[in-house]
Amino acid sequence: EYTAESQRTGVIARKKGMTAMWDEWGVRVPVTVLQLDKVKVVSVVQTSNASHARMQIGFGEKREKAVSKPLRGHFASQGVEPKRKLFEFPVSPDAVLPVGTEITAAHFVPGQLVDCTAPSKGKGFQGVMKRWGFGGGRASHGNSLAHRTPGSTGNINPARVYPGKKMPGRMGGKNVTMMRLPVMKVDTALNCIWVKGAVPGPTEQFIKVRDSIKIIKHQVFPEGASVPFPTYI
Amino acid sequence: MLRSLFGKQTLQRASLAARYIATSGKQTTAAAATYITPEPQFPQPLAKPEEKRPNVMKVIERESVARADRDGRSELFRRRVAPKDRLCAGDVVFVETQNSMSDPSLTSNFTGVCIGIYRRGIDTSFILRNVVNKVGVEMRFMAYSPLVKRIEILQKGEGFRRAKLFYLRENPGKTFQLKALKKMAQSAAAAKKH
Repeated sequence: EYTAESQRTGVIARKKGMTAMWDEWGVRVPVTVLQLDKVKVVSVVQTSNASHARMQIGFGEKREKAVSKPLRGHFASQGVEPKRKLFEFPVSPDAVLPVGTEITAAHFVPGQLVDCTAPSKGKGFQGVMKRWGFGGGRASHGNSLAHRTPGSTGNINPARVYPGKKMPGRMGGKNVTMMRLPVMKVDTALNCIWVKGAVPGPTEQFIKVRDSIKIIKHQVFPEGASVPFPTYI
Repeated sequence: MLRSLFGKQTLQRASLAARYIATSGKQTTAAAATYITPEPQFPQPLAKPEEKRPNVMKVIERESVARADRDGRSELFRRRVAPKDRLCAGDVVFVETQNSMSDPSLTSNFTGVCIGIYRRGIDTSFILRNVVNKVGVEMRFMAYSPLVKRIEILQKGEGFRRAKLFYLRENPGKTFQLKALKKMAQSAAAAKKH
């Protein structure tokens, strides 16, 4: 049974796009559609911490020829067909699932909060104003060639620039987690969930979706909801 | 037990009912469902037969519009419909909106000339312009919002050769001087939709 200390497994979903819906109060809610596709438990990894295990979840399918020999052996030893994407999720001992269990969109409860993790869109080499939100310089009044520059990079002493100083560089493409996004709709026919707001990454990105781990005011699951624990069978 | 709750249906989120008990004045039972099953239910995803591997976003868009199309208003926004049956820029339109979902009888009306239609699937919207007490007023209505109760074309526009009539803001001509339409609007407001 689900307890407050339990942590269910997450899933891998694909960001399919954004649309909108109107809730029962007539308020328009922008939503992101995340679709699951043959999400299965590939293996259960025991860690040095006896009270927690990690579950390796696989998404999609891949041709035998396209899979490397080491991975082919890994899938064969687990008895699962080759998967396109593999991610691990830490779970509590009561939420461990057997290898080969398929996880569908019904794993989620409408109204619950989820965290979505994915690499964000790459922005390329960006200046200091876009990358770090610096103010830049004056637009006029005699400003010479310094409209978007960082300005000073330090003090007279220690007479050097600190490592990690915010400077121009490659922006984006890093893992970002959007926390506590409500699941607005669970569609078991299309095997997708609608999540309020935006999710990092472009369309067709692989998103790690898990039950929210931040418990601030409201619980992760709505009151009175029956949580499919450890997953919906 | 789980199978009866979830099954092959789409389940929509319900907001925290406790927060709204005081404002709506309605009593909700303690065992109220935390989710809503949207109506109507589509047992099969709305994919066209020629689509071998249908794009999930297209299917969702079609399904959302079909579900929100309560009174056939999507015919007003389809391009393949004859101009006399669809909404065009230049038509005089009457819109009745609900002010709140908690009381469906409280409504507001607005009549105006349609100066632009934005066809975006579920986010389809149109702008109506009118001159009210010598002040130009534009209102943008989301066609499939549950708060928009009724959309009626009072008079078809003639002589408008553009999709967006933003020039009417500077050069209205005689467009907003139609007193007969005030009467039409009032009768449309009073008419009961069966």
